[in-house]
This record gives sequence, structure tokens and C-alpha cells, in this order.
Amino acid sequence: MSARLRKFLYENGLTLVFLLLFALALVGQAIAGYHEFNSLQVQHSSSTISFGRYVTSSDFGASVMENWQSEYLQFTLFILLTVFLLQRGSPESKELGKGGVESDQAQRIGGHASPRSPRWARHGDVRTRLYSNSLVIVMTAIWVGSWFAQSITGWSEFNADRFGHEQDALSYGSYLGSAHFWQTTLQNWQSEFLAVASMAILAVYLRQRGSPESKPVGAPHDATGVEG
Amino acid sequence: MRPLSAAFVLALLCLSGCGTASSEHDARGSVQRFFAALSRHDGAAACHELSEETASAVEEDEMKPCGQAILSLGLAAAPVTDVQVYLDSAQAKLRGGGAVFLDETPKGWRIDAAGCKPQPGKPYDCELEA
Repeated sequence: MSARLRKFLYENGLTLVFLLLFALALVGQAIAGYHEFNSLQVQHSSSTISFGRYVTSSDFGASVMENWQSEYLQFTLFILLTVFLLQRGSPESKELGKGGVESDQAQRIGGHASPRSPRWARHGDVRTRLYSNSLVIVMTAIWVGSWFAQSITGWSEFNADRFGHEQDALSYGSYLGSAHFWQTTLQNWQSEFLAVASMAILAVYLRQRGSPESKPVGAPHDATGVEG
Repeated sequence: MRPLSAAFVLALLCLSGCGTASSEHDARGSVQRFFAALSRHDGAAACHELSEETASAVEEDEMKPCGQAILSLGLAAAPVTDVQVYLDSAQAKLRGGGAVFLDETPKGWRIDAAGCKPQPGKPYDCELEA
């Protein structure tokens, strides 16, 4: 392995490992889902489908998108709400008294930018305002996109099921107001919100040595905005 | 997202979420062949358009071979006014408000329920179903 590749792996290990885990889990989900789908098809004397058809089907799409949208919502809200909301003693929170978007000086934008600041942070105009919110904008776009995809794939699956029970299909608008759409949406949201709340409060009292998501092991419980 | 990526995602969503014109055409063809067979009193040809489960059900209900049983039901043929396909299920709406429901099987689209009349707030009431 070349020194350059080793350096790249070392400097990007967190992203690369999570992308690898994502790919493995997605492939595993596709294989397991494919076998389960065809098994149900056989039970119902319906046609089995190819792996390629399964991974482009609403069945697979809906199950992937349901989880994507809730994860992106979780992180979008976490990024946005931690601007304003604080948690005493939590490393996930800013220090008490620092809630809000903070001054230009603290954020090093416009005239307070350094030569190494990103170019759009230096302009001080609409580009800086846009760049100042770019993380939430992109995360929100992915959340909305995956939620929309969930709605389309879920609608298709739902109507196929209705035809199987000799019922008319629902329009897309009616599906968006249906119990099925909101049940599949909220069952994912509730777990994400619980996970964030747990993380915020447990990290006040518990530690993981060496993790930036935890305070240093010896930090007092009321130390806020300190990362280990 | 670049326009090309957005178009790709929409195409993918449509692939997975929308009924294709080919599926709608095939499902409509099955219903039309079914009614044409009934009109010429060709029970065997009509049964050929049924799913295996539905063909078995009509035989059990009427205690006759499918070809004879299907003709004794007195199902009325009607023109197909609309076909909707979601995944491997389809509904053909008929002039007069009736409907036929189909499943995609290894042999193609086959009728799962026919002679279906709408009931307010309830599933269709079908004379022929699995």
C-alpha cells in the first residue's frame, strides 16, 4: 500500500468505514428482502421476480426510504435545534449562554474570516448566508427527497395490496393522509427522537474514553460543551 | 442535485412505483380475452385467463370442471374503461361501474376476481374470486 493511500485511509477512516458498513448492510437487506419477497409470492401463488427487479421494486424502495428519511430528519433537526437549545452537562450541547447563531466574529465570517476560511464565508453577502446554512439545507433536501420517495413507493405497495383485497386504489393525495403513510413514517421518527434524547442526556453522566461524542472521563457532570 | 441525477431518481421511482404502459396493455388484454371467451361460450378459454387459485375456487364452488362452471356463473361482458397497475396487481374498471382484479403470475396477467360490483365503504362484491 502506497504512503499516499495509507494517508488517505487514515484521514478518512470514519467516513470510509461507515460507507462500507452502509454498503454491506444495504446488500444484506436486499438479499434477505429478495428471499422473503419471493417466499411470500410462492405462498400466494404469485410470480417470483429477479433480484434486479426486486431492488428496483416499491417493496425494497419503501423499506430503504422509510429509514433514510427518518435518519436524515434526525440529523437535520439535531443540527438545527442544537443552534438554539442547550443541555447542561452534555457534550452534544454548546456551553450555557451561547445559544443562537452567534456573532460574525465568533463564526469567522465576512470581515472576520481568515485567509484559510472557505471563499463563501469571506464574502459577507447572500453567499455567506447561504453557506452559513448549507449543512442544514443539504440535509433537509435529502430528508425531503427520501420522504417523497418513501411516499411514492409506499403508495404503490399500498395500492397493490388494496387491489389484492378487491378495493379501489387511493389517489396519491389521499395516501398522504392515510394511516398507513403516517404509521410507517412515525414509527421511524419516534425511535430517532428517542435516540437523540438518550444521547444528549446519557452523555451528561456517562463517558466513553477517547470519543469526541463524550466528555473526558474525568470531566465534571455539569461541564457543558466539552468534548473528550 | 443535478438535473440528470434528479431525472434518474424520478425514472427509478416511476420504475418501481408506476404501472408501465406494457403491463396495463397486457392486463387489459387478459380481461378482453376473458370476456370474448365468455361471449362465445368458450369456458376453457375463459378459464385460461384465470389465476390457478380462482380457477380452483370456481370448480369447488360449482362442483364442475372450470370450463363448465365459469359459464354457469352468468358473468356479463363489459368494455374496459380504465386499467391501473401497481406492482404485480391490477384493476380493470368496466363500463357500468364493475371491475376485474388481476395478478401478475409466471404465465402473465391472470384474473383473480371478476363480476365485482362496488359497495360504498366496503371492498367490491365479486361473483368470482379465489
